Amino acid sequence: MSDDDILDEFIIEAREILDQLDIDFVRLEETPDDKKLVGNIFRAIHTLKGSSGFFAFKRLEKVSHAGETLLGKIRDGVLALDTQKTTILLSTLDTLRIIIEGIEKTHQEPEGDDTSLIKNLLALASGDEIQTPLTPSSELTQVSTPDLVALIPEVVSAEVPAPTEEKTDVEKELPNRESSTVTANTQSNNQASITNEIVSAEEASEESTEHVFAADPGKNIEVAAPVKVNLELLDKLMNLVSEMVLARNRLLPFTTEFAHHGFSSAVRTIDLLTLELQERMMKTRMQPISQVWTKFPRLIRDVSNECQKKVTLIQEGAETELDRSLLDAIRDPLVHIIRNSIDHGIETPSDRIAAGKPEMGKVLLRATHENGMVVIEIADDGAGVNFDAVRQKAIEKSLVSVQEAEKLNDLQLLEFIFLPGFSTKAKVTNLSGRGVGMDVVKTNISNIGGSIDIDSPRGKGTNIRLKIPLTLAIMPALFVRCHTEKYAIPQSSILEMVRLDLASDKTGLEDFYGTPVFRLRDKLVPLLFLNHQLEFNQNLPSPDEVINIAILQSSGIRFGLVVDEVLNMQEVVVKPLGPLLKEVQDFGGATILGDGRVALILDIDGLAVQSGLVAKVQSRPLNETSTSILENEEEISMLLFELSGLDKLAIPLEHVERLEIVMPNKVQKNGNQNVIQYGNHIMQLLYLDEYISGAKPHSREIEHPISVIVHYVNDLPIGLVVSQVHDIIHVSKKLHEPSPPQRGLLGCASLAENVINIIDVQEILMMSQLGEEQTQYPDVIEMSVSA
Amino acid sequence: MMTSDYASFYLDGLYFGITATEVLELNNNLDVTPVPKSPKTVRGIMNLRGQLVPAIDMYQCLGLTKKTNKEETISIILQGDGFSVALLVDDVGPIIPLYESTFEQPPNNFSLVSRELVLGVHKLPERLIIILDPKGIANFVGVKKKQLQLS
Repeated sequence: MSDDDILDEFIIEAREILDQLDIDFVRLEETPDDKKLVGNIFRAIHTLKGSSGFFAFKRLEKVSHAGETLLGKIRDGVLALDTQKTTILLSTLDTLRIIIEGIEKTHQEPEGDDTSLIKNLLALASGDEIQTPLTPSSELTQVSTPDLVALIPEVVSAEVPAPTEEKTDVEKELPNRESSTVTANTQSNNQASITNEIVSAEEASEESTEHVFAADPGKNIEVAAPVKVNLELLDKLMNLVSEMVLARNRLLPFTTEFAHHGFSSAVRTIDLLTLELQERMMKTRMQPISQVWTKFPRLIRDVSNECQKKVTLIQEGAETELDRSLLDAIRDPLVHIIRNSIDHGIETPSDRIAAGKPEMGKVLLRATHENGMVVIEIADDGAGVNFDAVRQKAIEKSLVSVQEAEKLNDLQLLEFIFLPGFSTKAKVTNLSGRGVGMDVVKTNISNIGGSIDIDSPRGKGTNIRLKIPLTLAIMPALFVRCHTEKYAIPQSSILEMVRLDLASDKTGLEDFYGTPVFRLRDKLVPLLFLNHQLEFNQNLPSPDEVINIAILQSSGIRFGLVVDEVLNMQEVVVKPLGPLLKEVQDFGGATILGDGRVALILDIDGLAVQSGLVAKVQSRPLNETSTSILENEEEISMLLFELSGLDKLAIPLEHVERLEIVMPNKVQKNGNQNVIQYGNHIMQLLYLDEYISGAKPHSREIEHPISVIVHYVNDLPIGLVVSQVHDIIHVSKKLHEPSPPQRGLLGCASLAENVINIIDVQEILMMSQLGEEQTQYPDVIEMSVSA
Repeated sequence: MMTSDYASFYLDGLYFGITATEVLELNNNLDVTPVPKSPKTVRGIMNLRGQLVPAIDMYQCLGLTKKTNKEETISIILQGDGFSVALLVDDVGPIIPLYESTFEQPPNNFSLVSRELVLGVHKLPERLIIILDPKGIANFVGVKKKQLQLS
């Protein structure tokens, strides 16, 4: 191991120590009497001092030594910890961090003057500063003496009974006299040493304290330190493993060709090992999100002190795991959002009391898994977004006219927050208000395939939801064909797929100021042709063609991408294109297919920007946004389907996760439930015609594929079996309630002279639960589906 | 006398050499995925045991014109700083040791583009071998790309 390697390890260790210290100090301020915690902090600084001495980093050594001196006094109970001491200790940490960062960059200790810090630390340590009401000498004696007295019985009570118990045990087990004498001897030896210890403890208080802490059983057992592995090495291993998977895939067909028993079983072993290797490899890159969160208690403390606000941080789901590279990517956005929450969101204590809220503001951080994504919520109970200020600012920046601004609702106003250079903060502080804020957050989050939502009910705080893919390296993608090549589109940007028959569609392709558009449920959607975009040719589809359109969402616009053929959905391992091809903005990376060939992954944002579509749509909006949002408020999207006997049924679209077609021979029995294998889960099937008034139960025998609407309850899929799925419709939110109530129906809505019956998913789920278990009405619907 | 090893290869009937220490391997898998809108000198990308490697069109790079329809048969993988490139060539020859004494700088009337890529020439008894600069190739592909962007 070279010197540089040792230095690198030292830097990594030092950073870990500093991170841990950040947390410990904030905790210590809450529980200043926690001797164990002080002991931990003292030891950590001590370790740092020791290592810096080894490397002859004089500055580091001096600062940590001064810090250690003050901490030693606090640990020994000579001095009490107060805000002033915490602040100076935290600034010591900051200085240490700066030095370490300097060392990391240049492998040399950076220049700097710490004399005033060290002087302050030492002054506080000797109790010279004004904040101590007692004279230094009296304080020393007064505080240390009772402390010492308290300590001695602890030593005695902790150590002495143990040998006695041991003795009785031994006596019981071995009636032999000689051996019991031997034990007695050892015991007296033990006692002698303990007495010695007590004597020495009386002599020097510092040593005795040291001893008590060392005797603490919880601290003595060292947890086996995890091995630190270079991220590059992990990436390389990951690459090799995925390559091995491909090699395995090539090997598999040979087993049938040769049909040799020994060979087949060897291949099967390789197959299983590769699979396991792959799974484990993926796990190594996953790290708990708490890695990023550890810095936040300190951040919140600093920011709230600076803003003179009182804030507590609540963390939930800190164990949620994310890919390492994603953790790095979300750190800055999260810091920014939290700062915003405190600086903009949480009110001053007096304002909070006036608003009838508790003085202490709350910031909640919550991470959960949701459908293969990690959702991070940052919520505060502050004043929420100041919509009037946003509107004012939008007018000031002439983003909208005064009349238009008056019409904008809260949802639309929130959109402005994401614009570059938009800040409502009247004064620029060093925390926020510079206007480089949420737009950067949004860009960073969408760069890693995530999305961001803001919800801010007036006066009730702000709730920001970040949706992050589990890992950067692997993502689901849709393969399409253009010209002769396969291309992958990240699933996260696909809204839906549309097949448009130009011959039978009434309007077909239309032209809007030079942009080809088509009508999707009465909304205009601009189109991009992938073959034009990739410069294969400039062909336009002939008027009788059937075209495949992927409806994509990117850079704030929705557009359709016309492709030659839609192939399959597949999880892909994303690899960067490398420096030579980085400038080709149409591609976000590439992936290696099962046959070893490379396929390019389209960068939807890049494509949209490159094509000029973003600029076009922003300068000339296709659909009047205000009206569309207005409609959304009063209308609700439903999926129209039919059952035999009832042909106009609908289910709210929010209850629909996916639509599936299932072959009847896949349906299996689990007790009296009908189930099918669905991904990693067993999905229970509910035949809706059994639950809804007016539907005729359908015969199940025919070999017809079954249409299933997949609905998720508590993250488990439930399949609702219907006869046929029709379309998505928009109906008024106001439903006509049936009278008398109809079984399984919520109500009905009218749509173009037709009456649409809306099903009551909750009631149907309850009915199915009741039918199976014959128990009372459950309070919470928990499906008895086991994976 | 000092000798260095050179990997030799053929392009358009010409004989080329490149420092053998920079060559990672020779690879006869030429399944190149074209990258639309990429610089002309980059034919596409290929999979080298899980690593993506850009495939360099040496004909484009050296300004040679293909006289036959024959495709390149083999690629030379160069290991550079941080990334590798694959040079698509017609055929490869043996690794040959060359004496410094047979080396000669390119003539003054050599074109500017070639000057970036060609270090010089070794006079072998039977023919000339043109020595390419591995770093020059990487730079050249990069520079070309910037020029394309400017225009």
